Amino acid sequence: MPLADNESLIRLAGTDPTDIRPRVPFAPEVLDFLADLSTELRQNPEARRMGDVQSFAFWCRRPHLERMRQAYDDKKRRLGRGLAFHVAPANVPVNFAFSLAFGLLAGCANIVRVPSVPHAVVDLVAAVIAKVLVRHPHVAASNTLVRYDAASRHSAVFSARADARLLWGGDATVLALRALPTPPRCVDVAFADRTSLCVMGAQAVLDLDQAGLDALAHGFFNDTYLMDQNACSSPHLVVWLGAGGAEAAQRFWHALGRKAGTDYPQTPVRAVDKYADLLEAVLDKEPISRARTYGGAVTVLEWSALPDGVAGCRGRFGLFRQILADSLEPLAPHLDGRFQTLTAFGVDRDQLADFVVSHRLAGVDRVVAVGQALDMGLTWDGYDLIGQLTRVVAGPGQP
Amino acid sequence: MAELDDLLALDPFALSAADKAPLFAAAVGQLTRHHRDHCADYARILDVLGFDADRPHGIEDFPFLPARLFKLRRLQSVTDDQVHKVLTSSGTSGQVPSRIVLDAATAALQSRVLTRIVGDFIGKARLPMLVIDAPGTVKGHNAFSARAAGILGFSIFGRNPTYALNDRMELDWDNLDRFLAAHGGEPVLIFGFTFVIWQHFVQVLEKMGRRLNLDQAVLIHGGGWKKLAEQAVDDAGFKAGLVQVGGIRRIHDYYGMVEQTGSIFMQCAAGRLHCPVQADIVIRDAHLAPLPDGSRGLVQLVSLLPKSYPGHLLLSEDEGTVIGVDDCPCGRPGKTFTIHGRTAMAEIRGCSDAAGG
Repeated sequence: MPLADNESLIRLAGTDPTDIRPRVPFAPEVLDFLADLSTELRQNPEARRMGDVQSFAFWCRRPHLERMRQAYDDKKRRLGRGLAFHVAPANVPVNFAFSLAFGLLAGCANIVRVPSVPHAVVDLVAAVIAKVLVRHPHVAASNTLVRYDAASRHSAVFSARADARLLWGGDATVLALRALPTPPRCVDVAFADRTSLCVMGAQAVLDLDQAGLDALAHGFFNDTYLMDQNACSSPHLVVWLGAGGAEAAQRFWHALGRKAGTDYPQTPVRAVDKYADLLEAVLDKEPISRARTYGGAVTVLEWSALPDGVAGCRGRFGLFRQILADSLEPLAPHLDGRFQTLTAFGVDRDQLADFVVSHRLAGVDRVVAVGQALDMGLTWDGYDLIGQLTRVVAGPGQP
Repeated sequence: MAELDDLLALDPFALSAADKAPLFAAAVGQLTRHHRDHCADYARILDVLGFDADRPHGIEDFPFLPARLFKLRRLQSVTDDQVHKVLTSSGTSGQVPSRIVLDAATAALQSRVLTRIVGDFIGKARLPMLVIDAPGTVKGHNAFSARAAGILGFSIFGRNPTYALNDRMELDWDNLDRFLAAHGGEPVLIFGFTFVIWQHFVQVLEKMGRRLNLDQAVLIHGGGWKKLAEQAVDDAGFKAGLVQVGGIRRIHDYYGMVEQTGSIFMQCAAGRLHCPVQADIVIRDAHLAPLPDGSRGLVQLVSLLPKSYPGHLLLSEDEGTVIGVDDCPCGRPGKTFTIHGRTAMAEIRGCSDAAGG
């Protein structure tokens, strides 16, 4: 729906929050609303065809909400910070709903700005939220979804009212939003540009039977190709750990090539972009010994050494870097603050998380199994979101 | 470089496709080895791709470069003191210019081959020339645009170029009347960019109801169909418009890239684009693998002319289809094809650059 002028604001759901009194985290009326939303999205025939919407619906079904509530209980008295203003990302459409859910679960009132360019996923989920809110008037009174032009003054007006802000976007977008004045105690949670990598245990991959190998390729496919590798948590570099790395890599990439060859809708434009990225990497003097393709959809640049600026070496549309390594030690100095997620297979994830801590790394906020890179959680991008979006009421026995 | 020199010296339509194929592949091999030996970046690309240029290959097997790479990097196979000029064409709507490094020999080769290809369609005589554009298009900071390059490049085929438009892109009737008084009804050469001819010449004359006496003219146009496609004007509609406003019937579209100036693909009277002996095309699928004749896909252009820069094998972002081989009703041998326009842009998914949208 076109905007009449760049100052107009379209309200997709809810009302401008009149009641911004904080709630406790995981408040019963909030869980009721989200569980109801989950049911509605899982029953909506249109929404059932959208994989990302179903992931969100699955995430906010009641048993999972209960599990998150129990896992978070830190015995502290907490209340939401007040009014949270969210600027949702344009290119991962369903994240506006996750952002809203984070604010709700923390006990905040929420103003969520969805991208100004209409998108089928956003429009559908927003319409379902509007419908479900009618059945939850207490939640409706403190939450709203709005759409307006990025160039308008609305972001400044909402920022001036905000007790917390969740800002999703590229570095430039986030910096521009952070420059807008907020009340002195406002807390910003900024999700800016990040990158990710993957570690595979060579022997574990060699030990897989065909079904296990295909499952691994399937998980890796979901981590990367579903978002054209553009998601912050999608890996760009695969580190093959231990003896047999070259054979394990061949085996894995061939399996991924079969999976992506049938399931990834490659287009000429993407193929040209990917090929140009490959050639640019060569001209940028990355230490590439060979580029190999596995079917049409997988291209792997084989590094002979770790270059400067590993975090900046990113692929699109199925372009990966790999390196063979005996240990992770040489990698540690390269894991700067731009790294977000480390996906792993065949390597103990607790040990990997301990590695990040013991090596005092600036980067890597998250260690998950291959296949879970895109799974959203209440700890995201290194932030404990409930912690960030609540305040603690200290009292006797609870420092 | 026997095959390469032989082919460069031949008339553009002297060989059947079957006679051309082995010579052409050998010539591309020679050129590829030349660039490998004289451009370190290019040698490294071949190395990373695992391509052995010392073995024989079919033309579809040679590594190609996306044309846009020349916007990102300056690649050259000559030393800096051999550089004759650097073409910095910005394209018709592009922002970042391509940088094409020419030595004197390559520049001379470009105009020699262009002359022979165009001459095959319009004859050797230099005709009075009418340029459907404004004189300002080739002046000052515009001088490096693709439009200026086209106008200046084709000016060698005409005499005393007259500009049909003023710098406000309106018909310049003083110039037009003078040109028609001197040459109306005679053989003349008309040149312009496709959308300029349509928007500023055909449509304006149609609206005025004017008909010019240009029925002996031959018209050459290029630059792409994007803007006309938006108005649902195709090749047939374009030609019908020219018949109506000027009785112009001999009309040749041409296809080519500024990155491969000289070896252009001319449209014949049968409406097909022709590969000359000095150039060829390969059609590729969404994974960049070669497609059989008759399939629609990305157009890769191969030219034997680029010697001072490794641009002999370039991937465009246009889609095309090979129509036939050695079977054109116009009688010219070789491969013929048609262009469908730019390939569709992809929707980009991912989390960067968010709130802008």
